[in-house]
Amino acid sequence: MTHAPIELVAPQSAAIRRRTHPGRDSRSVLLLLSPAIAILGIFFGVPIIDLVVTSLSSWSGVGDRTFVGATNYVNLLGDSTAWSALTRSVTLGLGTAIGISIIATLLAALVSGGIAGSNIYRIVWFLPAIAPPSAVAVFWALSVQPKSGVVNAVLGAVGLGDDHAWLADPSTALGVVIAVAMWQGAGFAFLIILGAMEEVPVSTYEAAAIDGAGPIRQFFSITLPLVRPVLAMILLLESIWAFNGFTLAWGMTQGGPGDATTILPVQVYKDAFQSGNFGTAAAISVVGGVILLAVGFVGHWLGSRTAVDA
Amino acid sequence: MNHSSLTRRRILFIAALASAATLVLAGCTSSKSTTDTNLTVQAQAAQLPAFQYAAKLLEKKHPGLKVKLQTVTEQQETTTNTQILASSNAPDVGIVKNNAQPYFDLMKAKKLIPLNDVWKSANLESRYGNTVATSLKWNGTPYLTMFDTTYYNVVFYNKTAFAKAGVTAPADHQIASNDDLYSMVAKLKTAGYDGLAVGGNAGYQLGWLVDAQLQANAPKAAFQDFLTSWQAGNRQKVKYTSSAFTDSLAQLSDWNKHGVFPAGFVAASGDQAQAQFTSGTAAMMIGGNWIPSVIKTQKFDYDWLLLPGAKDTPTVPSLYAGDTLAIPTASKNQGLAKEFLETYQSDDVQKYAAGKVGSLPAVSTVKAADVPGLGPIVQDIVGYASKKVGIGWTSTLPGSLGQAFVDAEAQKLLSGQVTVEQAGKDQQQQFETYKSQNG
Repeated sequence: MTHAPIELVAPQSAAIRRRTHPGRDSRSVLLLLSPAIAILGIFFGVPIIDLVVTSLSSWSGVGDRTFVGATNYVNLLGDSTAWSALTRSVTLGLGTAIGISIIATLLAALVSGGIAGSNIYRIVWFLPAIAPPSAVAVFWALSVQPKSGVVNAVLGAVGLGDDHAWLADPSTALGVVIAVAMWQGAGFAFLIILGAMEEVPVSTYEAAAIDGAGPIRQFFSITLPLVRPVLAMILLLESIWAFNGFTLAWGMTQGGPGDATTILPVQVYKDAFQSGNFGTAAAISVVGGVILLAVGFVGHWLGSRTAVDA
Repeated sequence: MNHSSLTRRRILFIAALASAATLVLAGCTSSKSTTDTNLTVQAQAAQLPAFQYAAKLLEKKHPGLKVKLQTVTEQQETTTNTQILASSNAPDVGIVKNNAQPYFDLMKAKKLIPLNDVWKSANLESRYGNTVATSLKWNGTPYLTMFDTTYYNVVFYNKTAFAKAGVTAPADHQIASNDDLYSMVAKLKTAGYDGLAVGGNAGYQLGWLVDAQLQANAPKAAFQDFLTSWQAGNRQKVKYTSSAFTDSLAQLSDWNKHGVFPAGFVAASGDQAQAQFTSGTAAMMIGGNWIPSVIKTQKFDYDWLLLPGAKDTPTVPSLYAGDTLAIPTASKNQGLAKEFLETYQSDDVQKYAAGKVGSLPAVSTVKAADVPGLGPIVQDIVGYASKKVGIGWTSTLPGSLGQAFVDAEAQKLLSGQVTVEQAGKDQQQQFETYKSQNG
């Protein structure tokens, strides 16, 4: 007598159970995500909606808002002050991001290449990043003062004169702010890029060395392409942070001399709190936010492309 | 993982969440006794001793009352204080400078309470004098009380530096002409000193210089128009593009060309300008009657003088009657807040404030001469100002039109970003924008 073979059926896996009960799993996911969504909605969504509503209003910051439609945006189109502030923000954002990326990449390359004292440099080069931005602003504003500042003292000692009024000169003031932003931001970018560089397999460099590639060729042909996604992310983040960098500009120059360092966040502050024009300030903020959103999408797209294989 | 374990985890999670919520709610609940009352009063750091004195007097009168003093910075007073005083958690007494943007925004939104009873009780109409009393009212109703008065646009000079440079200070405190000023500065530079230290980035010191020049240079009718044309319902008769205004800006530009100011002054804060003077780098600094109380530990002898106007007309000390207090409508202790204001207006507190912190009395019933603690230099300034004093243009206009705007515009002018004519046009444009929004 033969029996039909007993088919041993494995217990249903979680994946199979999910496929057969999709509704319950979606609800669970939603339930678990709901606290985060609620927090995002309350602390992110509501303020953004309120900002947009304010941008469509005339408001002094107290009392009722008066709806004025797109008047603030129409006025912005013809407001040379706001356009100049936007240009300065873009200059600050790009200048800082590119400068930080170059400096941080070079520093990371030196440390990952095993320069003597690299363990100390990992700490020293990161120190400016942990200093409070307001303290950094005050320190450097005093340091670049003519005659009494340390920068001019050093320049005077090497025969380059000690009375350069860097922050009083509209042609150099923004440059000083960019330089300080780079000084403060390079450390963080350095650590991130260093981490990415140290992830590159040693065998790749060994193979390149066997093929006759020197250190510089290896850096440009292997290291840089492989850390490109991280570099793109750093460029994107640093440009966004610098674009929005109110503290340094305000702490060092309060937007001056005149409006030579009045970047978009400073213009927003002046419009809102000095002039009591919250509607205009909100409109400027919305425009700046849209620009940064666009930059973010482009940066994300560029960074999501895979790195070229060596 | 079995079912009972899941249930236990769920129960633990809910219990933890409930405990956390209870703790948060408990933390938010006030634990103050129902018999204690707190009165929150804003104060400037420099005047803290005087405010503390007034607070103690009020606390003695009301056992159980605790007066909490909150210091605010100059920048907060002229910007974000609007939102603080309009909030549901506003202090009971706030600093509301009558020439700063917050005052105008708070008044338009009806966020301050009228103080007719305080003025009547403390007899402020008479004790302030007609001109000052009028300047503190909004449509004829008082919403402010002063805590001090100030004379600014007074230049302090280092007597040692002057002697070393061979510069003779004017006996009547008045530099007779701009040529005299340039000659003084040239001699000081030869002796290794900078000229006039000004905080170009302070946000108000360049505006001070404009005030002194306008008072000295503008025809009387034009100056009066500049002081009043911004008010709702008033029509402008003299534009800011006219020479009545631009001549004063041109004078600052001329001083800059002749090297009256130290290098980099446009980017210097008020503290940096003061440091240049106290360290002996600059031989002069712009200031006011409070300066002697701030630099009392200086080792060098100093005195004071006044700058010349554009056509060598004399400038005079400018009066600032805008250090004022108000009570927000959101105050939970309006009665006590009014008592605090009355206490601060008393002769006792005014005399204490003048002697302790160097501020001039806000009321005429306390004479500066009766406060020896002010020192001979301040007494001298007050004596001079009792005969010749000017109204500051930036002390009268709203900040967005006056001090905050013209100070930045003067920075642009002195750093070469705009010409005198363009600065006049910008001021006129700002005025027209203000009028279009405010009537």
